[in-house]
Amino acid sequence: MSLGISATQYLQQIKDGSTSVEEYVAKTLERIEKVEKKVHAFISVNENALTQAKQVDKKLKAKEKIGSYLGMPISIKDNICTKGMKTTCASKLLEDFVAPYDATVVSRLKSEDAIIIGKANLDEFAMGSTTEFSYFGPTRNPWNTDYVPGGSSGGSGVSVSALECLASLGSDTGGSVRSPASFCSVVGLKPTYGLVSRYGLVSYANSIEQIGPLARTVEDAAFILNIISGRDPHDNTTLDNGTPDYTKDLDAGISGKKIGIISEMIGDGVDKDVAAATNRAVSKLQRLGAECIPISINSAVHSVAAYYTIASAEASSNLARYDNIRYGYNFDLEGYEFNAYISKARGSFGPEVTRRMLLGAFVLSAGYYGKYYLKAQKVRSLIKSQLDEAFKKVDLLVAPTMPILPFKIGEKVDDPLTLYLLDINTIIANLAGIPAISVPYELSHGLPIGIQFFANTMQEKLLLQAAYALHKTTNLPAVPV
Amino acid sequence: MVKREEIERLGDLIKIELKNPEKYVKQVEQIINYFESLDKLEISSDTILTQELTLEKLREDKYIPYDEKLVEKLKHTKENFVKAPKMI
Repeated sequence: MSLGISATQYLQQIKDGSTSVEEYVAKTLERIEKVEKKVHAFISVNENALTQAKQVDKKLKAKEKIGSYLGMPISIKDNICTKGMKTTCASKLLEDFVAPYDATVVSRLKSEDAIIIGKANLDEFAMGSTTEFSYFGPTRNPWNTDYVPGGSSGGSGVSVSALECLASLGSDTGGSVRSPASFCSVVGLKPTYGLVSRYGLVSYANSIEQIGPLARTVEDAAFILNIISGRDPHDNTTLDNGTPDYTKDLDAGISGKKIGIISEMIGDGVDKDVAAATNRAVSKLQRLGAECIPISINSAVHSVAAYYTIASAEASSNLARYDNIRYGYNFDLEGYEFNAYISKARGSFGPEVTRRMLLGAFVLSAGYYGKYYLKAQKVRSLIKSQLDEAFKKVDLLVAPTMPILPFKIGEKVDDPLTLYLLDINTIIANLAGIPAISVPYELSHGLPIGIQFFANTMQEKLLLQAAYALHKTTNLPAVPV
Repeated sequence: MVKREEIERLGDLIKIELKNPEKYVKQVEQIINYFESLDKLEISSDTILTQELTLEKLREDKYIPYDEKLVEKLKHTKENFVKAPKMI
């Protein structure tokens, strides 16, 4: 029995009895034990996983009613609430916080008999692109452990890539699912805003973030989307999608589809290996019968400034709730005046969270609001209208997910602006609320390159079909770690 | 130009004691300078994206008791109350 299978293959093996849930989960736990020292994808591992696996096996044996996930081990980014397990957001401020309830996405997975194998590392409160800003230390890229895995859902990407689980849930505010998917050579989907419930996702920038799956295949990502998508009474921003089966007709192909290559995302500032890989992917799409044309979304060049203005503003408001009084880390109240205590306790936020809250407070200050925040909102609207126009001409858009290859841990950690600029190709999807997916495509010097597709709002089916078609053409080696 | 006093004032506003304000002065300035491109941008349209939420599908407003004593999970308590630092 190999751990290096897709979720779909896992389900088949459980169904035909060639492996048991207990056997697979036990082997997964062994694998975690072995590779965690090298990659540090998890903040906590579920101690009851094996017991839960045995319970699923028992249900199977007794032919009891069973959920469609058949004990599949899935990791969850540690900013998504899991009842009875720690949810730390990789922050000292929540280092021993145990959520009293499950996020909707988690309760849906549990009701389908998925096993939450562990909570995945992230940049503190999901603010970062490299998973270096975790209070618990960085996550490392399994393709080369000296390199960053992308972020902020780095632990999610690595856990899937390094065979520590079959799939993961991350959150994507400016590319946080797609960046680690690209850097770790897995599939990562950012759904349409409102398609997946955010109930139980610790808020960072509510108006742009979405929970999305990371998986080894496009089919697996579609399978997970089936369960986590749709209306949730606990999140009034969720949309009614009519619960389609996203795995159906995945192999419909892209023949006759029109695909726009976003000019602003393959020009200046893009690594030559990444640009070359993207060009090869475009040629392949053409051979598969798609018509590819260059298309300009010129407002995208302002997307980084607009995004960081909006996200920081929302962050500074959202994170105001952490006062360390009702819950938090051990820090005695005695001897402090109310405000002094809170400021002192909040001094334990990491550098990136502090930076973004300072920026958020700055752009919302009197005199600056019209200059930055209001302008950022107008840019956001402009991006949306340019994308609307583009989707009148084409069915899908394509670009490299990340403009550069994974880089060394520590290399850019003190250079926030350089890190922000790495989000240039992913942000437009968040600002406009449209879905996007990163597909593993090539390796360069042993480091992964992902190709990204965008589709119009609620066009996940089309998006997944294109991703499936491209992914089918690849034959990437096994992860070296 | 972002000044140290400004960063300290923002630190007060967001209630974070900054151990090393100097470090943030340069970084915030660099990022704000980058944001300047927004200010220079001429956008004729005043449209701002909004999401319309209907009030038709609200969930029922009913009391759901927790199955565990949340009070026991609080960090600082006295009897059945949350204990906070003194106000004055």
